Amino acid sequence: MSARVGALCGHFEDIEQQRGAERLGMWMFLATEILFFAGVFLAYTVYRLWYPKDFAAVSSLLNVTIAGINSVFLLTSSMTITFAIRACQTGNNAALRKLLLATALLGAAFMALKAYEYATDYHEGLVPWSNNFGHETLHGHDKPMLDVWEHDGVSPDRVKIFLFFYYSMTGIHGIHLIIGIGVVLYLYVRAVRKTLTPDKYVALETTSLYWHLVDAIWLFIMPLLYLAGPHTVHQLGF
Amino acid sequence: MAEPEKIPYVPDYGKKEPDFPTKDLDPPGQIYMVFFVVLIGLFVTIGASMAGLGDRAIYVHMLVSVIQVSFVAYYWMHLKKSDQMTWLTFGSAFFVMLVLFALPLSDFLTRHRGGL
Repeated sequence: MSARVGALCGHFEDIEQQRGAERLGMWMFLATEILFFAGVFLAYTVYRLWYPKDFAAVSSLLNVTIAGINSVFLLTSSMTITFAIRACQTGNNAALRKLLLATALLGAAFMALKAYEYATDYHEGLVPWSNNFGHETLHGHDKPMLDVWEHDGVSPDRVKIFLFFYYSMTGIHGIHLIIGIGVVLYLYVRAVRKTLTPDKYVALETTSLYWHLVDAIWLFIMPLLYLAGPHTVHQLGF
Repeated sequence: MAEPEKIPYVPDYGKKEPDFPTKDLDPPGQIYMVFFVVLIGLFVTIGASMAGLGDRAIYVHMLVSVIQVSFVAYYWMHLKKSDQMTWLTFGSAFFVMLVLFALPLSDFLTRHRGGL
């Protein structure tokens, strides 16, 4: 027989035990996520140690300004979701709704900038499988990148390896972020319906754990991909 | 009529135990502190790539990233107030991740130095 009363489910002795179990369940899931991403980072590490010159050459062509702005978006969203937990615990529903919406919007802004960046990369010939791969003249060079790379002893095949890592790592991260945005919006709907009450704040806390992990992974992806090569202040657009 | 003696570990189906969701509140100052630490880390990371450090910039990048993630995990992900099981789960994942890096790297970077 179901014995659900309020936020407490029947197979737990008290609400704190239930909250501890919910947090632990999410941490176990995060452990699998850490190992999943670790495999990708391991593969990247091996290739970067093998081909540092090639990776640096193409990394210098990526848009650091967009990556920097996106980093600020993600870090801010991590702060807003942490404040949202506090608002939920104190029963401040108005603040809770605003903070959850801000978190989702910051995540959506990240994805929008990412989509713009992907489109720019495509037009700049930085997509390995496109017809104009390496045919564009970029960032102060006076000839197409294939010629620049040939002159500098950079292998186009190794450039493609880097770009495969770039798209797969940012793509997997983006999929995780989209899932996170969906869950945050679900919690927002619950907050609007006033079913996300203070005694159920742990639903938001476990979501924040996932959100922070996605944020933490970006804190490694950003320097590994965008800053693998030398950059100048000029590239930031100043 | 005398109150019946309370038996420990009986499921609290009736929610008679008081619930205090506000007892674990994060102080706003702590939340802002972590935000500024990770934000400063971001600027240091970008600055290091423009400081002419060359191949050594990666060490600065990874050091800053580890510090940033440590702050996020300890304060925002509440490892600070987590129980032993959560620490064990986190520690296990971290340890297995280290093994995952150490064993393949010791092979790839010795037998295939310079690439395949």
